[in-house]
Amino acid sequence: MNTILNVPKTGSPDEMAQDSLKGIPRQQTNPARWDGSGWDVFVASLRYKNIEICEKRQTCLVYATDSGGLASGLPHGVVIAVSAQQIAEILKAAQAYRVPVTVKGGGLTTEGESVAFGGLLLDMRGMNKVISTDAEKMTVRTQAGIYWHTLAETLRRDGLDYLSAPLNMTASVGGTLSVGGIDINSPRLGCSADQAVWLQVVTPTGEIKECSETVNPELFERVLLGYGQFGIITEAVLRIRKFTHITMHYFYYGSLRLAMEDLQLLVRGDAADYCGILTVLDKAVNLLVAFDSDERERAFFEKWRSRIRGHGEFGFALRMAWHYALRPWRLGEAFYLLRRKITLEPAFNPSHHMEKGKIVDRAVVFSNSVWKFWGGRKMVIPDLALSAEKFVEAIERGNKVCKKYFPRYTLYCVGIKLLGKRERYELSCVPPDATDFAYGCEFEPILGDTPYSRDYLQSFKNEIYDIGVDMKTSYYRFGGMMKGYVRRAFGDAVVDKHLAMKRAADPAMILNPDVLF
Amino acid sequence: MNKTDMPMVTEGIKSRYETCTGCGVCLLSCPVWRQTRDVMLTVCGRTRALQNGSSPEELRDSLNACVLCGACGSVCPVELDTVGLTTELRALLNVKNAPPRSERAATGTTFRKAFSGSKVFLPGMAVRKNEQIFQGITRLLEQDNALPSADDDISDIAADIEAGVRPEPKQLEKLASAMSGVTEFVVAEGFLHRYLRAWFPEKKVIGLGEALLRLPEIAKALKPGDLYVIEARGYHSDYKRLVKFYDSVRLQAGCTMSTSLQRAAIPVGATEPQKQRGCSSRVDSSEQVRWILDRRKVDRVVVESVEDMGIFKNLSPVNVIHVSELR
Repeated sequence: MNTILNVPKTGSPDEMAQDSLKGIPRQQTNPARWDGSGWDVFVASLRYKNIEICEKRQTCLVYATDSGGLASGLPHGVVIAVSAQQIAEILKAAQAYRVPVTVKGGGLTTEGESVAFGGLLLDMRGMNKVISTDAEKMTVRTQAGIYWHTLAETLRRDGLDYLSAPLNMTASVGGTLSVGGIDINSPRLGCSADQAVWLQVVTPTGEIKECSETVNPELFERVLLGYGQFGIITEAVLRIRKFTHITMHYFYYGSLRLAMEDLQLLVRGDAADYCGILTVLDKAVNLLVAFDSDERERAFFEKWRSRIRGHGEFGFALRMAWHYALRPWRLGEAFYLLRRKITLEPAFNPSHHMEKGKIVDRAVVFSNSVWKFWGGRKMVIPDLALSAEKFVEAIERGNKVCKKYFPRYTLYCVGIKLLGKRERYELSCVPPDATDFAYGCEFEPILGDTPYSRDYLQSFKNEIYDIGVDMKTSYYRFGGMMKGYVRRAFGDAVVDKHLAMKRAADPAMILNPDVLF
Repeated sequence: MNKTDMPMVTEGIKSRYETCTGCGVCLLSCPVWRQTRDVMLTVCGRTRALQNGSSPEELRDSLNACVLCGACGSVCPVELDTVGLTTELRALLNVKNAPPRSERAATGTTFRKAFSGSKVFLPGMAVRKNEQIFQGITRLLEQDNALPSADDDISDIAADIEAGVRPEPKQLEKLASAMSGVTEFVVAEGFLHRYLRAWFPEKKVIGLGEALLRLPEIAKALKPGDLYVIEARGYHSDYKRLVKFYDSVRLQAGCTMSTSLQRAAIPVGATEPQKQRGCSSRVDSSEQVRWILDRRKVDRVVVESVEDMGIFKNLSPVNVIHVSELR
C-alpha cells in the first residue's frame, strides 16, 4: 500500500493546516500572536536600564521557527542574555507590562516550545561561560546558556567530561535541565537533569534565587524538568567525570521485541556503560552497547553476551539474505537497508575520531550523524515515555503507526535510571508509574523530499500520542503543539495542581506562556 | 581544460541557503559565534533569516562579520558551501559599489611570463614580507622541485574575492596562461585553495603546511610536546582529505593540533585580511590564540601561517616557530 497517498501535492509545507487535534482548538497547535499591547513601554523601560533589545526584522526572522520547522512565530524583539541581573530586570518589566517572554537555548524543540508567538525572545546562549571546575568534588559550575559541546570542549582540556547529555550537542545546558536530557548512558547515569546539584534561577517575577536539594528545594524540584514554567536557569553546578574513549559493539536483530527485551535485560543488570536501540524500519534493529573501560567490556562478554539474542554483523547479513531471498518482491526494502548500512557505518566510525579501536568524542560523532542522516528542515519526532512494564507493548503499537504513515523511519529507544520518587518527575517525561527505570522511544520518520502536509504529520503525532493516553503514560515532548495532550495524559488533578503553582509563581503568566498551559 | 571563465556562482544562492536545516552545528566551530554569541552574525543566522524572508542587504553587517575561515562548512551535516554562499552574497551586495578595476589593481597580479616549472609555490604577501622564512621555505620546497613564482602573486585576487569583488576574467586568463605548464600548486594563502581548485580542476593544490610536512626531515622534527597550529582556511577548503592527513601526522608525532572536538581548525590569522580591508573585525585574534593555548601543556608552538606567528609569539609562554623552521 502506498502510505503517502494522502499527502497533498500543492501548497507550501508550512501552510497552516486546519485543526488536526481532534476536539482541541486550533490555537493549541500554533498559538495566535500576542497583540503587542504594552510592548513599547516595556521596551522603553528596558532601554532605560541599558538593556539592549533588538527589534530588527532580520533578527526576529532568525528565530521564526525551531528545529522541528513546523511552528512559525515572530517575536517583537530579541534580547541576548548576558547576566542573571539583566534577566531579572526583564522579567520584572514583563510582569509589570504583561509581555510574554519566550526563552530559547539551543532551540532544539520540535513542537514550537522555543518559538515566540510575539513578545520577547530571550536567547540564553549569550550566557555561555564555564565559571569554574572542581576536580576534587568532580563538579563544574557553568552558565546555563552554554552548549553541551562547548562545555565538553572546555572540560576536555582538563581531561574531564560531563556525565550525560543529549546526543545533539547544540542543546543548551539550561534547556536540557528544563526538560530532562537523555543519553545512551542514561540507563546508568540517569537523565541530564539529575546531574544538577545546584542552580541559580531567575523566577518569573524577577528574583534571583539559588536552589539545590537543601537550599530552596521546592524551587529546585520545580525548575528541573519544569519546562521553563517556574524560572529561568542562569547557572548550574553539574556532576562531571573523567573523560574516556569508548568501545562500541553492535548487535543486530530482526525482531524489535527481542531487541527491546534484551535492552531491558542489560539496563536492569547494569551490563554496559551505554546502551540503546537504533533501527532502520523494524527490519534492522540495532542494539548498541559501549564501555568506558576494558574491564567493563570484558565483564559484558563473560556474563551477558550469551544471554542476549542479537547477531553479529556477518550472521545477521546471512539471515537477511535468506529472508529476502524468500521474499523477492521486497528486494527494494533489502536494498534500502543495505544502502543505509553502507552510508551509516563509516559515519559512526570515522577514522579521525577513532584511536586504537575506540571512539574519541562519541558525542560529536553521534551528534553530527544524527543531523546528517535524520535531520532536515522539517522534523517530527513524537515519542513515548514508559514504565518497564509498558515499554514493549507501547513501542510495538507505535511501530505499527510508523508503518502506516511512512515508508522509511527509525526508532530510537533508551532506558533512563531514576533517582527514586522525586517531585521533579511529576508532570514530566518520567511516567508516573515508572520505578527504578523508565524507557523512552522516539519515532522518527525520514521525510526526505516528500512534501508532507502539517495535517498529515500532526495526524501521525496524534496517533502516537493517543497510545500514550490509552496506556496512561507520558511523553518527552508534550509541550507546544502537543500541549493539548497534557490534560489527557496526566489528568485534571495533576495539571490543575501545577497550573495553580504556575499562577502563584508567575502572576501575569508571561514566562514561556505557550509551552504547557 | 582550465576553467578560469567559470562564474563564481555555480548554483543559485537560494538553493544553497535553502539546504540549511538550522541545526546549529556550524556555530560550534565559528569564531564569530565564539566571541559574540550573536547568531545573527553567523552563517546559521543568515540562512535562517534568508529562509524566512530577509534580504541580503539586511544582512550586510552579518556578511561583513564573517572571517571566511570555513570551519562551519567543514562540519556542516548537509555539506553546505558556507564560504561560497557568503562570498557570493558579498559579491551580490558589492556589484554596485565595487571601485573601478584600474584603481584596485594598480599593484599586484601581473603574470608577465609563463612559469617554467611543474610545481609552483605561491607564497603570498605575508610570506614574502618575512625574508628569512621565505628563504627557508624556498630551500625546503626546492628539494621537492617546487619553485616560487617570481614576482607574480595572486594575493590581490584573494583580497578581491574576500571583499566580494569577482575577479576579472582577463586577469584569470593571464593567470591560466602563466600557469599552463604547472601540475601542482603549493599555496600559503589558504583562502585561495578552493578557488584554484575550481579554476584548475586538473591541477593539484596543496597548502604550505602539507607540502612541508610531507618532507621527512620536517615530519620527523615534530615532537610529542608540540602544539601544531593549522592554517584554517586551506584546511577547511579540503577538509575531508586533510582531516585524515593531519590526524595521521598527529598520531605519528604524538603532538597536539589546534583543532576543536569536531576536528575543525580553530582559526587565528584568518581574521587579519578582513581587518586589512577596513572592516571592523568581530573576532579578536588574540582571544582565539588564548583559547587555543588555554590549559594545554605544550613545549613548543609550531605555526603554519606566517600571519599567526606574531600573535602566538606575543601570547605564548613557550617558543613559537614556523613549520619551515622545524629541526
